Amino acid sequence: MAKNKVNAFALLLVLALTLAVIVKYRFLWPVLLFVALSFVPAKLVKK
Amino acid sequence: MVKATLKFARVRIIATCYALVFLGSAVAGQITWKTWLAFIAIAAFTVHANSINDYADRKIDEINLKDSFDRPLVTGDISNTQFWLIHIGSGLVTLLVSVLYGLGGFLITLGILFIDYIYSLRPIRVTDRTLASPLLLAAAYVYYSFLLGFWASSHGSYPWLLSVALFLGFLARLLLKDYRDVKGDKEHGKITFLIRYGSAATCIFSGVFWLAAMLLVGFTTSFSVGLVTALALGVLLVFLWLKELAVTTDFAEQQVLVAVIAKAANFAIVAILAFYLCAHQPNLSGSEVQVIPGVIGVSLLVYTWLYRLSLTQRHVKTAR
Repeated sequence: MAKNKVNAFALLLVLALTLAVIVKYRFLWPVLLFVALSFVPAKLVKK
Repeated sequence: MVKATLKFARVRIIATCYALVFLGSAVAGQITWKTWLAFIAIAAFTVHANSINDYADRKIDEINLKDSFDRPLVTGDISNTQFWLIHIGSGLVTLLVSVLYGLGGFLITLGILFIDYIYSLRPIRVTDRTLASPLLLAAAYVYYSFLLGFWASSHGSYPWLLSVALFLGFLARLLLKDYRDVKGDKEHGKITFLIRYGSAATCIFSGVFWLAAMLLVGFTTSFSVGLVTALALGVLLVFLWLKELAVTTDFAEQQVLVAVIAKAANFAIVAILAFYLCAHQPNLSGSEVQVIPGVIGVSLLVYTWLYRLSLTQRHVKTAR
C-alpha cells in the first residue's frame, strides 16, 4: 500500500480518536496522546 | 550539549516507558501531577542509562552505527567533559525527582541507576551475558516505569501479574533488538541471544513470550472480550512477522520487521491503557468497557499491518 494512503489512515485514526475524546470520552486523552506521538515520523524524532 | 543530551535520550524508548508510567497510574485509578512529573525521571534515567552504555560500547558502535544520528560519542559531537556532565547530571535529576515518590521511589531509583553501571561496565557488564542482559534490561525499564506510574497515584496493592505480563512483552521485544548490532557484536565477542542461538530460536522465544504476555494480560483483565481480541490479533500479526524474520537474511528487511513488531507492541500497551482508563469510569456501560479498547487496539494494529505492507513495497522498489 502506498505510503500516503497509510498516512491518510493514520490521520483518520487520530481524527476519530480526537472526536471521541471531545464528544464523550474525555478520559481517553492519554490514549490520544500516545497514538499521536506514535505517528510522529522517525525523521522528525531524529532531528 | 543539549543536542547530545537529546541524542542519549532515545525518544522512542522514553515514549514507550512513559506509556508504561501512564498505564501504572491508570491501573492505580487516576492520572496525577506525579504521573506528569515522572516524565522527567524517565527521561533523565534513560539519558543516564544510554550515556554510560554508549560510553562502554563506543568501540562496537564505531562498527555497527558509525553513521547513526544517535551516537554522539561515535560522531564526536561532545567532549569527554561534556559527556560526564550529561551523565552525572541526568543521574542527579532522576534521584531528585524520585524523592517525590517516597522513600521507596528513591531507593528503587538508586537501584536502577546502579543497574545502569553493572549492565554496561566491567567487571560485571551484564550486557555481555546472553540471558541476563535482556532479563535485566526488561526488568529495569518495565518495573521502574510502571512502578513510578502506579506510585504516582496509589501505594496500594501492586498489580504483580500485570507487571509480569508487561515484563514478558518487553523481553520478547528486547530479544529482537540485537538484529541491528550483529556485525559489531560478533567482532567484539559480545555473545547476544541472537548470535548464540540463531535467528530461528530467537524468534521462537520471542513468540512464546509474546503469547505468555497476552495470556497474562487477558487473565488480569478477566479476559475482556474487546481487549483480548485486539491482543490476539496483535500476537497473530507478530507471529507472522517473526516467521518472516526467522528466515530472512536481508538486513534491511530484518530492521523493517523488528520495527513493525515494536510498533505492534507499543499499540498493545495503548490498548491496555485504554482498557484501564475505561474500567475506572463509573459512568461507562459494561459493553463500552469491552468495546472501546478493542476498537482502539484493532484499528492501531490494522494500521501497523498496512504500514508493514507499505515498507515492503518500498523495499521491493528500491531493490529493483
